[in-house]
Amino acid sequence: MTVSDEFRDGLIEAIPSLRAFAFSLIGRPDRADDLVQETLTKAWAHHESFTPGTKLKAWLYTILRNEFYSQMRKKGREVEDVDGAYSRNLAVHPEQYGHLDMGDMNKALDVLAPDQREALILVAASGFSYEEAADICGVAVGTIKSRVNRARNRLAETLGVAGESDYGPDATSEAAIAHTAFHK
Amino acid sequence: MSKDDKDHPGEMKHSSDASAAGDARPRKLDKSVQSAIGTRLRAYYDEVAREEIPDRFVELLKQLEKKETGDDKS
Repeated sequence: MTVSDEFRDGLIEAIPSLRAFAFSLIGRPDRADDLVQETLTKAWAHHESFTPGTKLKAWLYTILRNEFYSQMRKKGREVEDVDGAYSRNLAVHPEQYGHLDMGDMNKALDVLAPDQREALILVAASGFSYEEAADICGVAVGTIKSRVNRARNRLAETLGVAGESDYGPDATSEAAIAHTAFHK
Repeated sequence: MSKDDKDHPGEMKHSSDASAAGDARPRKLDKSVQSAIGTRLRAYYDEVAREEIPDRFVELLKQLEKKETGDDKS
C-alpha cells in the first residue's frame, strides 16, 4: 500500500512540533533533529499501522518517545551520565552568550527525571490532554498527573518561581536563547 | 511500549531525582506558579516549533517518496 498524500502532508505538518518535543527532551538541537529524522523514517515505513481517523500527531509523538527511550537503553548509562546531563549543559553554555546564562529552562528541564520531563512537556507545552499523554507514554492517567505535578514542583523550585511577581520578561529571553541554540 | 504504572521505572531513573522520588506527596502548586511555568515552557517550546522546517527534512521526505515510487514500479 502506498503512502497517501494525506499521511505525507500530516507528517510535514507535524515536523515543527516534533522538533520542539525532541529538543525539549534532549536539549541539543543536533540530536533532536536526528531523532525527528528517525521518527519520520519509522513512521513512513510503518504507515500501515496508523489508524486513519485517529490523531496522527499523537501517533508520531509515541514513535518519537519510544525511539528516544530505546536509544537511551541501548547506550545505557553513558546516555544518562554523559549525553544526558553533561552534554546537555555543554550544549547550552556556548561562549557567545557571555554572562547571559543559557536557557534556564533547558537546564531546569535537565534536572527532571526523563519520565517527569516528558509528561510535563506533553501536557503543558505540546497541548495534549492527560488521557492522550497517558496513551503516548503507555501508562495510567493517574501516573501522568502525578508526574506532571512532580515536574511542576521541581521546575518551580529550580527556576525559583514563587508566584506571579517572580515571573517577568524571562520567558522571552529564554525563547530567544532556545532559538539561538538551534541555529548555532 | 513499557507497561509500567510506577512513577519511577528503574531504567529511566535519574540519580539526581532522588529527592523528588522520595517526596511522596508533592505539594499542590499555586495557580499563578503553575501558569507562570506553563507560559515559560510554552515560550521555550514554541520558539523551536515556529522555526522553518530545515531542508534535511524536505530532502528526507523526497527520498522516502522516491524510494516508494521505485518499489511500486518493480
